[in-house]
Amino acid sequence: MDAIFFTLGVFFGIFLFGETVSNFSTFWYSSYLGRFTLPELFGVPTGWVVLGVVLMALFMFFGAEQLEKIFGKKDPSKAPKWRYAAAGALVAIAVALVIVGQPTNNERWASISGEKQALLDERQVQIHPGELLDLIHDNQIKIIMLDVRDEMDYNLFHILDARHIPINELQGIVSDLHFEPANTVFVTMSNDETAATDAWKYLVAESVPNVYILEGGINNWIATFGDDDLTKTLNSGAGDDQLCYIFDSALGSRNPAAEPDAESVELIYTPKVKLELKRAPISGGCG
Amino acid sequence: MTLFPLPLSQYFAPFGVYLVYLLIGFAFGNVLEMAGFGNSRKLAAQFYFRDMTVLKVMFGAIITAMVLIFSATALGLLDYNLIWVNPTYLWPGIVGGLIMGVGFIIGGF
Repeated sequence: MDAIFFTLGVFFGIFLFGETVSNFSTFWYSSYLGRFTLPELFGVPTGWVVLGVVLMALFMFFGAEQLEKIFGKKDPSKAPKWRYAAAGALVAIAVALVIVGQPTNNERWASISGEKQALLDERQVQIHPGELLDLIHDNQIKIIMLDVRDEMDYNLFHILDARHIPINELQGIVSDLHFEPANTVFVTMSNDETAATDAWKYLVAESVPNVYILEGGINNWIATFGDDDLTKTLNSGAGDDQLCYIFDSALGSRNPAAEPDAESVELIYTPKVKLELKRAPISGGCG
Repeated sequence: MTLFPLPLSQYFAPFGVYLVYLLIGFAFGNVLEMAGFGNSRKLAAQFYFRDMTVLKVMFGAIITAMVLIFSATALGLLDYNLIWVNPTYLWPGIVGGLIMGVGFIIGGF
């Protein structure tokens, strides 16, 4: 009988919710914090949070036993004895976690560097500007371009819709990148390839799928798509990973080379982008 | 690549994955029912502090899972970045939890 009323109640509740949700949908979507975990909230390493939560929970269990003795008239000496051993084991593992810590980005890279460095060396993840342009115009792929140069170069010229992310800020956006749908392709770009390769290594070590590098960087993009006024400003003596072209004003993405016409040039390239199967669930739980 | 999370969709056909999820859910519900969580009087007794089983079971499960997940990550068995964490909507979550708690108590009369 309990179960019948429970089920009827669930359906009634869903009905009520469905009829009224459009009225409070602003509240429903408010205070979004993304993938937010306690170590982020308190700014302490994970091991300390684990130890703190374990100690808090054991304290609450002890308190619960006292409450049961007072209100529920339960005799605590009848509870199984192994609970002390289990509590001790949990605290011991938590202390071990504080000491050992969680893997850092360098350690994660070290464990996968064998196969991933080979991808870099065989140039399987550096994509031609023509392929990037086709991806931008591909309706079935969501492209996210991460421009890891410094702000001055970004303001002088960047591809339309490229996001500016200095490398030291990459850590903050990794959890947002994991929420992107399975058909997202990430492309890192810098002036040549040096900074973009560092960013690629960082993202791949954090298990972000489908990361690629723009081959030759922005210099190559401008050489491919820039008009003659722009390409004749080439300064071939610029250093490694420096912008080789001279701009008299910082147009950013308003420069015509930032959104080239896909039909106007017929480029030959080897397509390299292959979407990975998503390893992890992209939704789940009760929400 | 770390051993876990297991790429189930590569081991089983597309619908085999759902069978795994079904079995996990069934086992979860079975264990909870065996512990007495289907009994609304037991659930209401938690609120009156007479029987703290709900608190002990829920929190026990939370800390066991937490310790195991972070231990596996520290040992390199699990990739924590690939674990699904429900995105946090802070105030709607708090209000929803309160509504659900009130419902549990009303249901326990």
